[in-house]
Amino acid sequence: MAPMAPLNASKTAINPQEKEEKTSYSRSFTSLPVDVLLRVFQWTDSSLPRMKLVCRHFYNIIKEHSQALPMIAIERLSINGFKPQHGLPPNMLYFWIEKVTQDRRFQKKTFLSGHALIVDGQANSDRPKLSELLRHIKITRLLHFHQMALNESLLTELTQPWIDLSDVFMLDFYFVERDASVENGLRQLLAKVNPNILNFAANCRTTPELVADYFPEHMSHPSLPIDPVELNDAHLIWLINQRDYTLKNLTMLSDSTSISIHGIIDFIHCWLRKNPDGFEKMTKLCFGKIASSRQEIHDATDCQHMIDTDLSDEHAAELVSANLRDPTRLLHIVCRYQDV
Amino acid sequence: MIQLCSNDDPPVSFTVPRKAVELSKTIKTMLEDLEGFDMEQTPIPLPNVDAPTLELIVKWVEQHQDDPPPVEKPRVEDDDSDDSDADDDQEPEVVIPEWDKKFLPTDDEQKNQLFKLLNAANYLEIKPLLDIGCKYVADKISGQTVEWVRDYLNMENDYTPEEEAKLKEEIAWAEGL
Repeated sequence: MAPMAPLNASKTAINPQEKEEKTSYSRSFTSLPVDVLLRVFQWTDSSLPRMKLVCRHFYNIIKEHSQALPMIAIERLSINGFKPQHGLPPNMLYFWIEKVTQDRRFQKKTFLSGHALIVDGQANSDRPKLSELLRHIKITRLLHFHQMALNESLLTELTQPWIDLSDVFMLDFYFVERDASVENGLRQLLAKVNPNILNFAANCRTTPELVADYFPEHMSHPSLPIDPVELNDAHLIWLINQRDYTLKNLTMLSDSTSISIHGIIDFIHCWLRKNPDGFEKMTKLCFGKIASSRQEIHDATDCQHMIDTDLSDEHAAELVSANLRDPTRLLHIVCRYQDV
Repeated sequence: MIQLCSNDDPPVSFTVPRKAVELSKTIKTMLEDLEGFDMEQTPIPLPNVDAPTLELIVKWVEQHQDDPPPVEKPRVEDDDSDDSDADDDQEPEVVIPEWDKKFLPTDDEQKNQLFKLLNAANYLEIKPLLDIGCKYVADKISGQTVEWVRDYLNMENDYTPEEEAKLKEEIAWAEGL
């Protein structure tokens, strides 16, 4: 389309200085209104937090509207109170990225099912606040606090309105020092999350504790230590057959073990045969598993499917307690695999 | 046909089919308000749009005048409904059509023209053009360093070194995700 002179050219003449200001204004990216900038930010995916570093204007917009912007899904977030240490635990194979800052160490691990983020160091410090760390994160499975103080400050941070805990399957406080004055903060937290997802260290039985309780002969003979990695399917069945064996509220086999998915399935079936009433109220089992093949991932999926459907549907009602039909899954398998 | 005038001195005017120009909600509303006047003889001045930008706008609306109308959805800032159905709340994926990819001024030396086009599309309320422009800029800055984004968007670092260090700590977790 060829441009043509306007009919009322003289009426629309603009002062050059005014025009320069107008032109400068209208060509600037930041002159766009907030709702348009938000449209840009909503498509920046995992780069969104970085956009806050560009300038104060971006920071204020993203912070003010964080709840309207897409969040980054993290499957598991662990906050560890102890000082950052280098090195990874043995027997664990991950694809991971590490970033060390002045106060913290961040490890990002990528599994087939999603990302895990581990933060070490000074979670209660004000540099920066935990609530700012969590502003753009949507945790889809586990939020885990380890070796730190559970105090009013931490609970206040967790109950900030922009923190989304709606999809958290388990909120785990492990080896935390519980401050006596946290009742009010806990009440606020309970108003925000389903109480069934809360777990405290006192209720937790982990792999080393199981070993200490049920394989004491190994513990008393240092020459015959039973490393968690040696814990196998036969041990699980042996455990079930012990008369005094009871499941604590949370049983975690979270270390790298030799227990197979089929062993977990047999364990569940044996337990149900032994205890027709099913699992005690609030029982949670968590099997951490480093898969050695893709087939194990499929087996784990099948096992989780059995837990979600076969054990909790109407046909199995005579076998399991009502707890298993609770919408909150009581049995949970974390199966990890790295293609090496 | 409708005449649109740029903010240049002297102004430059473009003659555009009414159907095409009505892709601009701003101009469509104006034409509806002035129903009864002979708008074909009255140029519409656009004080926020210069001639090169207006030429791009005219080219785009003429190309898209026969497109089906976009589905109306509230913008992010206005969307305060408490509809909990996540599927309904999700914005449809914006895909930049091939013609538009060639149309957008995407060379680095043309970036100021792109920003002027975005401002004009916003002023004239041409949502589909604004969407593809925003999507293009979002794709362009995603994954880039902060310094690169500042340079691309012509922005100054207005943080103190202390503030910047604190912010880097705040977002450190997101690096590499």
